[in-house]
Amino acid sequence: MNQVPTAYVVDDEESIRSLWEWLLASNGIAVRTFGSAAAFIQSYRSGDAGCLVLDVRLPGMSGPELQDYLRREGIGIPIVFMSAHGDVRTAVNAMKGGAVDFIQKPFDYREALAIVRRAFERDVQERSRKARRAQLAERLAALTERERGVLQRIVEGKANKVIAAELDISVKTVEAHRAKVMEKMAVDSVAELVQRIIGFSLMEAPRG
Amino acid sequence: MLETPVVVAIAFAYLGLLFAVAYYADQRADAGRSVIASPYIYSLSLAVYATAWTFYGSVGRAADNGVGFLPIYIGPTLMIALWWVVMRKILRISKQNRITSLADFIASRYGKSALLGGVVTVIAVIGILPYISLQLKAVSASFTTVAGALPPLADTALWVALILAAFTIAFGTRHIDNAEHHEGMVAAIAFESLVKLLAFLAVGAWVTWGLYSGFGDIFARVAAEPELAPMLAPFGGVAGDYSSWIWLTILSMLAIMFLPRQFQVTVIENKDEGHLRKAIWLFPLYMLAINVFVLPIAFGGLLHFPDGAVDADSFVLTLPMSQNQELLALVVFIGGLSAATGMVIVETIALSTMVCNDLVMPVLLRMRALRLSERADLTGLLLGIRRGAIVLILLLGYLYFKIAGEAYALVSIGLISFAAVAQFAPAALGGIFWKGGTRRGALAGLSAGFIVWCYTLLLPAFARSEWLPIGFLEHGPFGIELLKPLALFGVAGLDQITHAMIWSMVANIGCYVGLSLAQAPGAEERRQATLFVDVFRHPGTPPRRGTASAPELFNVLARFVGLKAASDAFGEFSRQKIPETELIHLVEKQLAGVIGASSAHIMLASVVKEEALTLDQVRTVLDEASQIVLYSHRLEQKSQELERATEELRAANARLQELDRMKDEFVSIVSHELRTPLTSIRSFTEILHDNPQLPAAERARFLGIVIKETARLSRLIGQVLDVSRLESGRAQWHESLIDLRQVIEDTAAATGQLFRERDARLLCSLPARVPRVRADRDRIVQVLVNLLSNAAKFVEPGRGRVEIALAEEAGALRIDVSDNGPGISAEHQELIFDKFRQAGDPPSGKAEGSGLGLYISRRIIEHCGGRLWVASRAGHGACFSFTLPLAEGAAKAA
Repeated sequence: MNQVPTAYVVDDEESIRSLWEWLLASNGIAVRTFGSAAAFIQSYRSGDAGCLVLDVRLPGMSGPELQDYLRREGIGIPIVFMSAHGDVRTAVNAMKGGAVDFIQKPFDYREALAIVRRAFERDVQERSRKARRAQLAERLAALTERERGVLQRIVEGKANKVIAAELDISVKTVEAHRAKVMEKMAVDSVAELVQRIIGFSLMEAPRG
Repeated sequence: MLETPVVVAIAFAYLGLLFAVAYYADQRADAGRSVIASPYIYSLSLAVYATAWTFYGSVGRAADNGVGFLPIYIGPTLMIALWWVVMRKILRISKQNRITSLADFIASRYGKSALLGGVVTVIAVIGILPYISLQLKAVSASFTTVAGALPPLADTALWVALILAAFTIAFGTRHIDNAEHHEGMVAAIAFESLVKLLAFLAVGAWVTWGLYSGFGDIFARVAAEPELAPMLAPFGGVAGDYSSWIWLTILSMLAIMFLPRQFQVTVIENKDEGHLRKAIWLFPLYMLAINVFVLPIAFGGLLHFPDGAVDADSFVLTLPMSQNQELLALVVFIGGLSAATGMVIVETIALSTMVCNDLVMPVLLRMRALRLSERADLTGLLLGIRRGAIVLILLLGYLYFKIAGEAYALVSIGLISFAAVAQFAPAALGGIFWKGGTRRGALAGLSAGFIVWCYTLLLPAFARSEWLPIGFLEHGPFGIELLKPLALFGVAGLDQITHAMIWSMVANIGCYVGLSLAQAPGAEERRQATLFVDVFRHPGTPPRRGTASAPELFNVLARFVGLKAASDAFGEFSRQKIPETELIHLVEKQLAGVIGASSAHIMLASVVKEEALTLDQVRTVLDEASQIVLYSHRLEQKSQELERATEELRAANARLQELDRMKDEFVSIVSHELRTPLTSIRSFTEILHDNPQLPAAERARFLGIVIKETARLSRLIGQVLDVSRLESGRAQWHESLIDLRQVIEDTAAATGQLFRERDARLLCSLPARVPRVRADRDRIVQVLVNLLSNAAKFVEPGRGRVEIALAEEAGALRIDVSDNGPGISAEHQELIFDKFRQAGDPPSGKAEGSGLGLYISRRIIEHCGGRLWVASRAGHGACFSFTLPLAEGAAKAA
């Protein structure tokens, strides 16, 4: 896995590729350029950090087609589209497809640079959220069946007595489970626990 | 027995009253407040159908046949139900064409044929004579019954005929009306219909409730008499088989339409088409009312005079007389007189109109010796002819009565006339529903039917009265059994009317349809046929061809209608600002109202200078005739054309939209193609500008890119402009005779650098001499450079081999540029000639072309009259070829 965030540029115009190479490299950003979508697919490994700067009009697989392909493959790299076509429709479609930004040719190179940087930040955020979620999922997985039952009722805001009655166990036992859950989930308070779980469910909710 | 003078006086008093009614109605009509413009009066006038036959004869028939008298009244009731379809059409046609009589109607339909009108008139007159004689017989017999024989001159019937003639003349021919309207007559007829109905109801009621005690009583007594009982059975009596019922019904269905007097009151005297609506139920009601008491009176008579000594036809009179009900008898006599006079007056007026308009006038007008068309005033002549005709017809009726009247009962006499007028049905009904009917068909049908009628009905009547040997009936003429008048061709066992109807209709319809189908109608016939059959579709008549001056037309009209009426008519024309060209047509219509369509046609021919018809005009006339037929056709065509035009517009619009879309696409692609190099140029120049401390090598590289992209940009703009010039036809061509061999060599030399860069070989195989072609040298160079640089770009560096060949073929030079590159797949081979289409990248990297080169090349070659195409297989190189036609005479010059 390549941990150095890299800007992947796909454009069939050699001069444009040269431009991006110099522009990003001279600003300390790792860059790799490709003449076609196929070349990019061949060398990119899922999970590699960074962003994709993608021309709309390409020989062979077009920009939007590559976008579709990546989504189908579950590859979540942020995409910045660029196009010499000035039409709004292409831009709207690209953004609807999940692109993070749109650059129209000819562009101001400083602006283009800023857009790529924003895409990088976006990638970082996305990655950390993913990591937190993975951690939470890991911790939840460590809970026993009974502990998960207690956790669910705590989150629902039920008192120990009620939980004990529902699960047909003593209040003491509930308290013991409760302490275990707090420990395993690595939280200090019930409030923090609830917050974590709710955040997790929100992330799990379908995007839309 | 009443005193003769009293009866005579009362009869004259009654006729005087009738005259007063008529006079009053005429006065009202002149004052513009018509009394007959009412559906009730109209319906009552239709009841002129009920004559002395109904009044006396029905009872006679019922006494013989029981309900056998009924078909004569069922027929009209059935027929009138169809009138909204049939009679309304006849009415409309007659009003539009100013028809004056039945003969006029039929003659008009078949091309205003005077001959046909004459034939119809002759048939009508001869056919109706028995009917008139029936009235004379009834009136004189009733008179004799009531008052005894007239002492000084015992021939009552003759007196009746003469008195009726005088009365009819006074009624119907006081003046000439240009529409043949006789308002006074119609009012009198309606009045008479009321009188005869009331008289008959009076005697009926008296017999039923005075002599006996109600219907039940009479029928019970009849049932008790073994001799009379069978009469109560439905269709009972002697001549009661179904076929004769059906034929009598059909016969009377036709009679209600085509008896001249019925045509007169129903059609000619009609004031308003809407009156038909009420008549359709009022008239059958009248029929019902006048028939209610027929059976009671007949049975009452049979019961009262069991020995058969009294003629059943006179029961209505003899029953009250036998009970000394003299006042009632007198009422009945007046009722019978009403029935008879009504019929005689209307019938003779209708017949005299026909005789005058359709028989005498056409003949007189044709007799140039009479110089009729030059006489100033013909109204007197017209009146004279009509009056003469009236007297003649009544006298002929009297003669028939003398010859054949005694041998038959009233009803049988009447049926002979019905059968005669039924002969008009095929021509008249066919004429309003079938455009195919022709004049020849109508003439032949009418004549054939009439001849059969004469042979099977008229001659036997004479034979029975012993004016012809009776053997004629029993053994056929000259003993030929097959020709027996009452069993023609061996068809026996039918009653006389059924037999005659079957044969006459077979002959009539057969000839009418057969001859109509055999020969197509002429132009005039076709025109009239369209006017009649399609009367509801397009009203109005097409104008007559020809020219005539207004004064001439005025004179013609004045001769027939009188100075005053003609002045009124022309005053009306000028008020309505009617153009002179239409005057002929209008005057003909006016004249037709007076003397009938055929006479008017002949009359006008004398003043109208018909344009001598050239062949061209004949065709136009024919066209006009069929134009009317095709009227709706054309409308349909028009709408179809409109639809087609709409469709074309829609298609054109779609094409324009497609062009518009293509233009948008072109602009979009061009802007895209322009923006790509602009992006590099802008960014690199900005970077160079913002970073003055860039290393020299970097700077040089960036400037190199900027220069390359700028060149690409200007090349692109040049090509886009080129495309636009080629497409709009604004491109400049400098054509001259060029030597292609030279051009190729020059181009190969110029592109040498390109091939050296790629380390590719360029081979030229050119013949020593080729004929010249006429073309724009620079353009051909442009094409060659495009093909050669394409080839150079696509071949593999180091192993590339491009060959250019020139050869002469039929009338053209052919140039092939072949390479050993990757080739072009079949699906791309046409695509690459489109704008901005490229088949793929060359192995050396991105294709630097704009995608316009091949498109432009093909357009150039096509402009020069040649063809540019590619032959290739993927992986096996490509060969681009084009041809250029040889210049005129160049082959020799070379």
